[in-house]
Parts: sequence; C-alpha cells; structure tokens
Amino acid sequence: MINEEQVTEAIYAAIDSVNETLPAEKHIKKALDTVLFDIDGYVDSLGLTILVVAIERKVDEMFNQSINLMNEQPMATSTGPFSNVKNLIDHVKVLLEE
Amino acid sequence: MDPQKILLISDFNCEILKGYLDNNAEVPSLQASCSTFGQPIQTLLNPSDPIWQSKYDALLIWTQPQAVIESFHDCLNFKHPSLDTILNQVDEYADIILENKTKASHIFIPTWSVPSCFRGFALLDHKQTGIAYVLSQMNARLASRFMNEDNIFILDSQKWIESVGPKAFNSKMWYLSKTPFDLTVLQKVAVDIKAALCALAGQTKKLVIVDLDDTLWGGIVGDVGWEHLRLGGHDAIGEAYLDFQKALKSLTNRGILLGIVSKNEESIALDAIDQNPEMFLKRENFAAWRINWDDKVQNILDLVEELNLGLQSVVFIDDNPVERARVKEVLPELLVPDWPKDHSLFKETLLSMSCFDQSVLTEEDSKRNEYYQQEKKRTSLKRQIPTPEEWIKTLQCVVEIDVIREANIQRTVQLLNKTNQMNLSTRRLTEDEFRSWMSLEQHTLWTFRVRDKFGDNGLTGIVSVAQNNHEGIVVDFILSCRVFGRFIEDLMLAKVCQWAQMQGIKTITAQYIPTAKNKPCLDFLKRSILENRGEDLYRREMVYHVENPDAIEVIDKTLDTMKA
Repeated sequence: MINEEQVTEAIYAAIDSVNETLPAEKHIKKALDTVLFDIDGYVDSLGLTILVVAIERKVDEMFNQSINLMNEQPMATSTGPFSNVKNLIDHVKVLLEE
Repeated sequence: MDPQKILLISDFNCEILKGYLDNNAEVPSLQASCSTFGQPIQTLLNPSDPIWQSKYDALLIWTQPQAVIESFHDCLNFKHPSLDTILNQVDEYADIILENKTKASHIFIPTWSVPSCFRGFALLDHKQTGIAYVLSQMNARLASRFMNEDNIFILDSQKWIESVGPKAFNSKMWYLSKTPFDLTVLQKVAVDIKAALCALAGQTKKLVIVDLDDTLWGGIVGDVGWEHLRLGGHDAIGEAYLDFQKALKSLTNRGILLGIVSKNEESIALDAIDQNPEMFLKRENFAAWRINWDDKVQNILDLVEELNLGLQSVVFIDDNPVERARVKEVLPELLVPDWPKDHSLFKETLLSMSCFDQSVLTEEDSKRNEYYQQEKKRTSLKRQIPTPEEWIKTLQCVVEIDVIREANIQRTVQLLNKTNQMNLSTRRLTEDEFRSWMSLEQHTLWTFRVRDKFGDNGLTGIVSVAQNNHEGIVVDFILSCRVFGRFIEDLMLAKVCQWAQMQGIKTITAQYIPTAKNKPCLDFLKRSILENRGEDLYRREMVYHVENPDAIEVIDKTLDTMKA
C-alpha cells in the first residue's frame, strides 16, 4: 500500500525545485488545492518540466521505483493529473500501485 | 546594489538556468537574459542583434560540441573527420568568441562534454578519431586559445557532470524543454557562476579560522594530552585529520591565512601543536590565534582586527554545531559552513568550497602567510616602542615608488579589484579596461612597494590621478591592509602633491565614495593634509611643498621615468 504522506512529500519537494527558479512572489503554494497547470494556474511549460523531472527523481529516491509522468499526456485536460496538487498526488499513487 | 547582468548564449534552452541565476539567494544578485534559443553563432556574429543593445557584466557561452563544431557532429556519427579539420573548426569558433570579448566584462565558457551513456567507439575512444580523444583535444585547444585573455574563463563542466553522476544528462529534460542537463547540473552551474563573479570582484575568502579539538585533531587535548590525540599514524580517523591539516596548509599556498579560535588552555594547545610529531600544521602556519575560555565571537572579532581583515573575508570551521550557530547568528557576515560529523569528509568539504576561488594568483598571494608572520614580529616590537613614528623608524621601512609596467600590471589590477578597506573609490576594472584607462595621456598611476627589516611586503599600494587643466583628481587611492598605519598612506598623498607641484597643478581633490567597508580610508582622509570641503570631498591647494614622512626611506624610481 502506497503511503499518501510520502507521495505528498515527494510532490512538495518537487514544488520546492520549481520555486527555486521563481521569484518569491510567484512561488507555488504547497497545498492540496493549489492549481498547477491550467488557464489560471501558476506553472508554465518550463515549470512543468521541472515538476515532472523532480517528481520522478524524488519518487525514485523514496520508493526505489521508476514512474513516467509523461505517458498519456496527463496535462491535456484541465481536470487532468496536473490540474492541481491533489490530482497530481492521486495520479502518482496510481502509477506507483500499477 | 543593482543586480549584475549576465547574458546566456547557447544552442540549448537556458531558461531554467536563468531561473536559478535570477532567484538564487546567494550574492551577487544577477539578472540573466537568454539569447535567441539555438542560435549561438548567429547571435555572436550579428552585432545588430537587439540583445547587444544592453551592456553585460558577464556572458556565458555554453554550447554542445556537436552543435557548433560540424566535424565533431560527424565524429559522433562514427565518421572519421581528421583531427586537423576538427581543430580548425574549434579555432574558427574561438575566433568568433574573441570578436565578442569586449561585449562584457567577463566571459565564461564551459568545457564541452558528451553524455556518459554514449559509448562511442569504446575501445577505440582514445585512438586518433575516438570521441573521447577528440573531445579532450578540442577542449585543450579552446583553453589554449583563451589562455592569455584576461576576461575569458573556461569553466570545467566535467566537475558538474561528475558530481551529479550518470543522470547529469537528462533525456526527459531534453524532450520536454530542449535542455540537455539535469536540474542538479544547472543548480551547480548557477553556484559556480556566482562564485566566479565573487572571485572576479575580489571577494575571495582570505582567512580560515579553525577550532582545535575534534576539528584539527581527534580528541580533547586538555583531557587526553597531546600524546594521545588522534592524528596521523595507522588510524583511519587520525589519517583523516592529518589530510584535513594538509588541505588547510595547501590553502596557504594560495594566499589564504589560517587562524585558530579554540576554547582551551593556550599553553596546552600550543604544546600540542609544537610537540605532537604528527602535526602537519606548525605554529608558524597560523597568522594569529585566540586560545582561551572566552566567547568565540569576541575572540574571532579580536583576531580579525589583529589581521586587519573584514569579517566578510573569513570562514569559521568548528565541529561543534552550537558554536557554529552562535557565531553564525552574531556574525552573519562570516561564512560558517555546515560541517560534517564524519571526519573522513573534512578534507573534501574544505576543498570543494567555492569561496576560495580566485581570478588571478600572484607571488604576493603565495607569500601572504609569510607577510603576516613578519607582521607578528613587527607588532611585538611595537609593544616595546612608545610612539608610532619611532616604531616605524625601527622597522627600517623602505618604499619604492614606481610607474606602471608590464611586470607589475597584474598585481596592480588585483589590488584594484580586491582591496576594500583603504580604498577611496572602490573602482573595479578588468585588465583590459585598466590598460585602456592608463593609455590616456591625462592619467597617471604610481605603485608603492614596501619592505622593512622583517621582509618584503611586495606591491601593496597604488595611487592614480587624472589631470584636468590645473586640477589633479585622485581616482584610486589604495593600500593593502597589511601595511596601512605605517605612514605609507601619508607618503602616497605626498607623492601626489609633489607630482602636482611639478606639473603646475593648483588643486588636488579626492572624492571619497563610501562603501560598507572603506571607512578606514575616510578616517585617513580626515587626519590627512587634505581639507574636507563637505560631501566627502577632500581638497588641497598647492601652496607649500609636501615632504615625505620622516620615518620612511623612499626610493622614487618615477622621477626619471616617463609614463609606461
């Protein structure tokens, strides 16, 4: 059973990575309802790149398991896995449980 | 202070690197721009590209070898271009960069690398057209083309890649953003660029203060005695401490001073340094020490004052996290690195620190510790002599005044860029900028080399003036902290006045430009022969002849010499 807290920790660590490249006023909030990749979201395509790479690395470190977040174009819809932090956590959990 | 501007020119997407450079909290603060993505050569060849409308403090020209050297691209496809062809193309690339060398104060060029996953010709990789061999030759050629360029610096990309490991090149990053490197590589690049700019601004750390027990040696000397310290010998921990001492000693060859601040009985600790046969560092390797039971913060302040340094020049190494936290909190200007608990990491932690990076290394640097040893002898003499004038006389101080020459230009530029305290205007110039400034007829500069009975301090002072009709304007007035307070500064001012009289100049002016560090210069101006005319402006009407200070013997080589 995948521990949701650990997945959340991995996602928040990845958000920290994105924030390192942003000015303080544009930092992404580490909260479940934070909108990520959406018309109103914070994350541009470079931010998304950082997020994807950082999550995959962190998950690899924490769970010793590789996941591929670029499969099936997860950011294609506004309700997709990258729409907000909660959906992203759920998506990573699903990938880890596959 | 305004952020420094850096332009990133690359065949790949540097926007993420720009993000790290712009938002990393370390100094200096930077404002990065990226040139048009994927067009490094076009950007460099096109002076009317809008990107060149701005003036930059630095350029980073970072390319993948296969993107700018066509024959190397062939090489990666297992074709066999000749090495001459490849190196000719490297020369052409170097020529393009050289054409642009005046577009920024500093240019950084990372060495070329290829992903480690690329096996190339494997067994044949170090043969004539093997990829590893060719790449090493290309990097060597690039380095040799810029060897004598004072504002172009090669950065070692291999270090970034090795420190990240097999994931340094990240295919996912490439497919998502056209950035071939992993985030951790880009973070390291940002750190190194900032360190390089600090080094070029003369902000290299000058003093490492170390604790003793469990830092310089294993064990508490007051408890176990010097005979039972863990140091050297056939003992893994002892060897680690010994290697750490060797690494510290190696820093002194780069002009970095060592000091001790330790809670101990001084006699016991010094006995350990003198008596323990495994001690690699000897008493004479330390410029100063404070070994007592007082607060370390106060001891550090005293020691730094004794050495005439600023707190921002100091690194403090202590195994005790409580002492580190206390020093860090009270003296935030000091660099207090998080220190590993594992003794085997002491040496590599020290040697990996970027705060000792230098842009130039002179003979004076390598002798700095010797100078401070001499200074200790001078200070001990000072305690026996009643007045400063009498003390200076006993030093038998000789100052050689000279004009700028090829032989002293590098040291002069270094003094310009590194001296903070006795510095009138804190003007920073590259060697090219300095040469260009000196080439103007109205500009004059003198160098001051100081020696006394304890040794040669080297070239430690410079004064430059700009002549504007009947006014002489002091532009640079710089003296190393090693020698100020010995009337050298009075001699420097006397030299300006004597020159002014010879030139028929009626007024000498010096505009003090305050910084966080140059108050010693203001203190001197206040007690000098110049008069304050408000707003940090100091002036002297040239009515009387100004004599050199009595206490100093002066050898003035400039009297018969025209400006070089």
